[in-house]
Amino acid sequence: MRMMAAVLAAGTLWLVATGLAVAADRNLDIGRSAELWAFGRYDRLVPDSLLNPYNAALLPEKTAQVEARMHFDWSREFKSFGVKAVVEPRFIALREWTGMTTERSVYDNQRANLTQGFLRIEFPRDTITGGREVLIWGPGTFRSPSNPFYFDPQKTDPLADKNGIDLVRITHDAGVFRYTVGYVFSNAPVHPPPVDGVQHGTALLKLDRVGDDSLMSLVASVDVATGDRPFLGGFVQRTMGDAWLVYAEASVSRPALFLDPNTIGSPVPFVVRRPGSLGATGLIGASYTLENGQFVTLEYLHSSLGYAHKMEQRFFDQLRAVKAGLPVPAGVNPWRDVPQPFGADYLWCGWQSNPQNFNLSWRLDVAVNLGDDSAGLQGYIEKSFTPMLSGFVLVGFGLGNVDTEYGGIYRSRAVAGVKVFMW
Amino acid sequence: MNLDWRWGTGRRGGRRTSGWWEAASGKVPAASARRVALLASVLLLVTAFRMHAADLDAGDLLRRSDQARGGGLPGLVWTVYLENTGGDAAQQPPMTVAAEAIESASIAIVQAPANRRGWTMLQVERNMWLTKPSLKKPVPISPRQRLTGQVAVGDIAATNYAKEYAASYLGDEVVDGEPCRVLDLKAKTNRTTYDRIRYWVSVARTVALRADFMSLSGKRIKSATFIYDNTIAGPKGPILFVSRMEIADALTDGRSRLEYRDLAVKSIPAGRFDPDNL
Repeated sequence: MRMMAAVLAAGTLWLVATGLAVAADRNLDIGRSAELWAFGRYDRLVPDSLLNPYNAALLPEKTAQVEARMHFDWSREFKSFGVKAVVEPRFIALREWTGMTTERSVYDNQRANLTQGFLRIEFPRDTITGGREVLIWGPGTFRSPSNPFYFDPQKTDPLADKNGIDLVRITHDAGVFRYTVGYVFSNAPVHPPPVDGVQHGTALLKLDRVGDDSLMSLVASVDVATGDRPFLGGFVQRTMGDAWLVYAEASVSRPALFLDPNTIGSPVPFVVRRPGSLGATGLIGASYTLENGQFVTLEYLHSSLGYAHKMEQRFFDQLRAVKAGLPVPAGVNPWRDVPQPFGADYLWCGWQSNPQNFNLSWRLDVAVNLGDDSAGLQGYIEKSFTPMLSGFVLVGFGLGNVDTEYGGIYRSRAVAGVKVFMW
Repeated sequence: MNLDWRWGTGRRGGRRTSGWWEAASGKVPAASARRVALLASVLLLVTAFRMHAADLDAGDLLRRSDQARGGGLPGLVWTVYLENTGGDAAQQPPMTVAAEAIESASIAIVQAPANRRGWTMLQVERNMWLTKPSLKKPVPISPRQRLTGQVAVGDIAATNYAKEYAASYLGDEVVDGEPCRVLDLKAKTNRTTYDRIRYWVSVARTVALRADFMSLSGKRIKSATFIYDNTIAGPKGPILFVSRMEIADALTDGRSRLEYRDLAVKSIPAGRFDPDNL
């Protein structure tokens, strides 16, 4: 009830604001959309998990959720520039049933947040954007090594929402080249809080080159206050012939910390190194389009920042020791501070319906951690019943032993729901 | 027998002779043979030039006809109302798309129906992306995907056939009582929406009235007819602009009607075609 009231209030507020704006200025363009999602979710957790012992993370087994995803935008063109404002609020109400802890519990929660809210000023060759904005780039689907803010942009999760970062950026279009300079105040919506509890600003520089059938980018970023978290990356994508798209993303960076598992028998299971060592992450991929518009994608990711096979085994061995009673040093959280990516080598394959098929969309994908031979398998399908209503189902499986990445938390998951396109 | 290729005409003894044969048989004196050779060369050059000029004309005709479909203008905005019948059209409600285009880029955003609002197709040179609200970021679209669907992406966006196709002149035909030049358009690369197009361009109005879209083997994929009831203020005066396009699928009974409305020539900021801004 409270969530519906919030949605109605947002809609009313929008109507009033828009009405006033239109009355004052008939050159204002207004856009809006709103989707209401209602779905149920069942997660079968791994009972003897090492990554989530005794369900310490309080992951729910069952969830009933309703959420409203809205978009409002106002645009106005003046003689030599244009202005656009975008607001994307979210209203979420859910009930979670959590088990596998000392007692079963039911948890209710309602929350509202802003995924995007920014102002954009457009000159003929320059664009200035300030506020909260989703700034995802790169052709990779599984992960995005070329993006310092969105290494996992959750493109493989069709139900995950977008999350913007707070920034101001200026882009200059010089024809073939495009230059972006930016300052990110906070990427808290997409990253956990930093170890020192202070959100540092990050300077960003991006250079794009648009070719006839290719796109290249170079990206650099660094923590402005401390010089920490240096990042240098880029990507390239190229269309080959009629049906092939090939691409690569790469970066060199130094994470804020690295969780180093000690050898078994050590009195201290983990040591946190601050900052971590400089490491490289690279992804290569190719996508092939079939005659009917469906496409198949294959990607390989390697990262020296993740755990190679032996180190991963040491990590899980220490988790067993901790579960058996070995104390963890203060300030160390081995479940939170795992590296990104977790492993060193991955293979990802996806098969997807024609994106121009409006009535039925589906996707099958599998991600394999080549270091521990675990895999995550997922299928998603969405069917449009009417212009106002569609239904969707998502099924996923975690394959692998309990001391593996994809076999360590979930055995399976199933989600079923509907989307109502309100306006 | 002298098989030199020489031609022209000459007189020997009051009889008009075929210079070509005489020259070929070696019966023409040397001086006359040189004149014949010179004339032949000139005629050959003139013929080649005329053939080339016809192709140049075809290219120029194509470029001018592009303007009536959004190509070659400094910036253009318009709205497309799209309705499908036949095929699987029963499952596809009418769609409204807002489009903007400059010389090398275009963007089309679906405004209706509600379950497709926000779907966006961006084209920059030969790169193309599709995004929709549920996607985290734009998805690159391959040239093959541009062709799928009852209405291809290339049908909604602006056309710049002069840049993408090599035109040659096939002949003249009449379409709906209007004399037309028939052009054969062959894709310059394999990244265009269609491999070949047969294009009927009105002689009087320099606008395309009909098009057959074909695969490389010449197999017809779709046909389209165009009506021009719109006029826009171009840089050099009013320009006729397409108001309706009717597309017939050659392989099924699918039909699509696109109506072009709310046209305006205007400068569009470059940032509108930046994938990072989608």
